[in-house]
Amino acid sequence: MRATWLLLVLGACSPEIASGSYLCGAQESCPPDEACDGVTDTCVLTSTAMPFACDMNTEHAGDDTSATARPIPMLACVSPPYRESGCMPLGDTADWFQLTTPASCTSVEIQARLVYPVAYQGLSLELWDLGMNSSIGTDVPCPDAIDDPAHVERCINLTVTPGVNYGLLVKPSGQGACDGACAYNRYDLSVQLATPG
Amino acid sequence: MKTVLVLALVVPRLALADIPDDGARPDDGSGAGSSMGSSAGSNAAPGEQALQAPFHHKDIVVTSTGERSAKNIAILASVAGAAALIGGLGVYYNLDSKSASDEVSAHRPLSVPWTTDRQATYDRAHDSAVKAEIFYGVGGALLIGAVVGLIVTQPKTETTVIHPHVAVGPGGAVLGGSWSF
Repeated sequence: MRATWLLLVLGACSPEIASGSYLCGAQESCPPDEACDGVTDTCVLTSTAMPFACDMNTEHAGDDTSATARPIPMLACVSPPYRESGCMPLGDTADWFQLTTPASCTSVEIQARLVYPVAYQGLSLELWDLGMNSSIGTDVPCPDAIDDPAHVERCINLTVTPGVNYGLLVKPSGQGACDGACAYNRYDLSVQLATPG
Repeated sequence: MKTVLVLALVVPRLALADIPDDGARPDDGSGAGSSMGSSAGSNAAPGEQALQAPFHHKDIVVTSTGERSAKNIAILASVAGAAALIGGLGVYYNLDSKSASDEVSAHRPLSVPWTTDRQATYDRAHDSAVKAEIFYGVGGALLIGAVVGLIVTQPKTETTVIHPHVAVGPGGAVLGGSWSF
């Protein structure tokens, strides 16, 4: 009995990690003998890992400039979040979204949130005044971010002028791209309007 | 001790079987003394002739167990102690390896990413497992060495057999003995 107990205590010294147990870490890091599956963002056996691929209808060609930005429907002065799933495959340098604030609002705040997996290249979010063609806001860590170590959340909360065209630019941050080997990512963008304060 | 007793009881009787039956044994009580006396009693009185016959007594067996030298004991104790110490290190690293291994082992989706901290824990589990195997190997080898040394350096047991004999003559008695080792 003691010998059995001793074997149980001293045995099994090598970590045993089943395929699919962990999500991919930063720069596609995974346990030894596993690789990051580009479809599910999970660590799986190297032989079964699939390359990164954008989900259907998440990559929109021609949204690489502010002039060809993907339009966001007109939102109310105080709106529920509008959600858009996007994808930046290898070589994609910019995804533009355009929204117009209602002119009827006395004051309005744009609240934008970008969420993306930590496994691939980092992304950044910028708010642009398209009429002035200038950046007026950059992302910061979300103050109400949920504790999810597998994803990064970046936010922009900025008071803006009613009745003006604004652009939201999603682009690579230049970090966590595995020296170019994982220079791609997918993301969720949510935008809503609210009363400032 | 048992060996000594057995030898003391058995060996003399076996030894006596080899002795020519030319004398009486004082303890057998078989009357051999008187018969001998009658066969050689032409020149002397029967009682006097019987006294001249040599008396063979029971053999005395002395068994001495050798003792280990202090140096031998010190060396064996040092080797055994080193084996225990190194084996203990093996146990330490084994437990450390198991602890780290349990920390990162997973058999179902955890919804957490693989991080540098987890990689470090994984590496620690592997490194400690290797160290444990090395220390177990060295400790085991030392333990075997100590046991082999204990057997090889076992002091020899010496047995001395004394064959006492007494001969009584007209002018006195002769007490003698022979030793075999």
